[in-house]
Amino acid sequence: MPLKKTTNEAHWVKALKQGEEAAFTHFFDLYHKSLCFFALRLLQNDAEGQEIVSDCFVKLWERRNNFETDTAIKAFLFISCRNACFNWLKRQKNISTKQSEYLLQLEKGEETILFELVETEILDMVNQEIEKLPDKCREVFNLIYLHQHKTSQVAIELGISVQTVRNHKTRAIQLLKTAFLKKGVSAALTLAFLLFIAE
Amino acid sequence: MNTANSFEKEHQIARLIIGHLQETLSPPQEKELQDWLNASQANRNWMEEFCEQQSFHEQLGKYHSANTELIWAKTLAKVNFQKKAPTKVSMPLWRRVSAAAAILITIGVGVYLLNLPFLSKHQTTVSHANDISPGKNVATLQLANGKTIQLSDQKTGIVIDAAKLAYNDGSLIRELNGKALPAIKTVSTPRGGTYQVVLPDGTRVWLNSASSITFSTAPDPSGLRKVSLLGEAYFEVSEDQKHPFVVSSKNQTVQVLGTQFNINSYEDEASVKTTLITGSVKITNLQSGVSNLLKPQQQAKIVGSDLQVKQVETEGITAWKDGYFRFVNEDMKSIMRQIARWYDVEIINETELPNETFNGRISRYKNINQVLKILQAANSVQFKLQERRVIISK
Repeated sequence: MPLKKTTNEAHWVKALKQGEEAAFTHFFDLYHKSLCFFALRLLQNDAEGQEIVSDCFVKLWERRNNFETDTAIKAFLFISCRNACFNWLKRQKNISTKQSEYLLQLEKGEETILFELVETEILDMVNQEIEKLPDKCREVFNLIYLHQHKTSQVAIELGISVQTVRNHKTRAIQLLKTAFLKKGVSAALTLAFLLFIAE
Repeated sequence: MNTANSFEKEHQIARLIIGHLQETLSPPQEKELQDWLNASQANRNWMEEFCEQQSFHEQLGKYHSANTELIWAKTLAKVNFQKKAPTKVSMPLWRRVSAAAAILITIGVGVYLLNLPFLSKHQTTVSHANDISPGKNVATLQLANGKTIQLSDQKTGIVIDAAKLAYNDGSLIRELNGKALPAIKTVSTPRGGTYQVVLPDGTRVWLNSASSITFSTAPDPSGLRKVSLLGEAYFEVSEDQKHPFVVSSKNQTVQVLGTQFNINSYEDEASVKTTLITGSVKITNLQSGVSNLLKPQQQAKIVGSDLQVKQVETEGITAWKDGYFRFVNEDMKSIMRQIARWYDVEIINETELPNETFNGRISRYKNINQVLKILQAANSVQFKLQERRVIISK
């Protein structure tokens, strides 16, 4: 008997409701990086951010019956995260200038948090494209552009020739370009993105 | 404190900005965004600053540095999975490989295959009694004089030119040192094998499993560069306007000047599919004599004397050469044929395969059980592995 087709997000939301751990890991994979980045921007504190993000997912699991859509899940995670960051900042006796700035904005409900959110969403989109690169390409790309290792260093680390590293790098750039051109991400973002990887 | 509502509004503006960058906004949406930008200098400043390359690079680095393993471990320590229904709960050892969780493109409707290291619900049903490792770099070179040479599985490809044969890292093929060779040669991969071949004109060919390519190292009097293909290969043909490159395969010929394309002509597939990535190719159905020019992103499908051309997502078609199974609205039968060729297994259907289609990406370098687990999680059927047979049952 053929299964009824479901759109994939609806499938995962339903699976989460039914308490399937695979669905939980699906949403974890989908959102943890974004939440981490978001929390880090607000808190300027790595360790606390990790604690808060894991708490958000625990809450998601506890309330898994409450969600009807993927958007609702995402909103819930970000709101929980924002609130937890806010509470943490309030509790701090000594906070940095940057932190107090955010605290002030959070208290006023100012739109400036929006910037952090938009940045998060855009980076998420770019990151998804990087994740789709073939394994070796991605490894080379990450080492060079995100960890800023030198080409020769990468060659030693991965036990491949300098030329092969260059080939992977060129290929990664090619694939990312194609991906972004296909999506039509043009204008400022593409420029910014391509400029820094064109070297 | 902000209410959930105002927060949603922030998300809406975020979506507008992304839509703007992707050029997918309707005119009223564009206006909404413009209004927001016009509303304050701070908004405009932010937009400019974020899109500046150095800062973008830094932010991407930060985004990327999220410590997945640690956060996952913290989450697991606090979450209580036991509340679920009274099925057996056996949390397996969570060995998260960060690359493992690839969540895939959003095209069409279908079930997504999620690359996770465990899927507890069906965990016990894929037999662990044995496992089969993925295909690897295996191929043979056959010469017209009947001699067959096993190519090294330590190399990924072979470079052929009129004078000599070498692996793609420059080392010579030992068995052939210094001998004169017949011009006609065939490189073949078995089921579970893949290999790259660089032809004398510089054309690069990626052979998928159970495939072979035959060519001559001597110039052809017709001026054509002729090769013939059985099975599946991806071609990057080096440009030479004066000497068209012609691939003959089951039921068709494909003529090109310089371009990249994929041909899937397996005997057990219902049709022969030629997919163009870049450039231009002329495809001829050998039964009907009908020809057609393909544009990039088009696929020609030949069944008997019929030739049809449609637009396709090429990523799924060439993924195999980059080490992936990439499924775009692919049915189970087709997926299982690919698995059979790559893992060299026989598929035995004890039940009707589901009609639904699947989307997803799975590394071809996993053992078969891992791949079956992923498929099973998205499926209503069970897989069992017995020696080199995959038995599919209810």
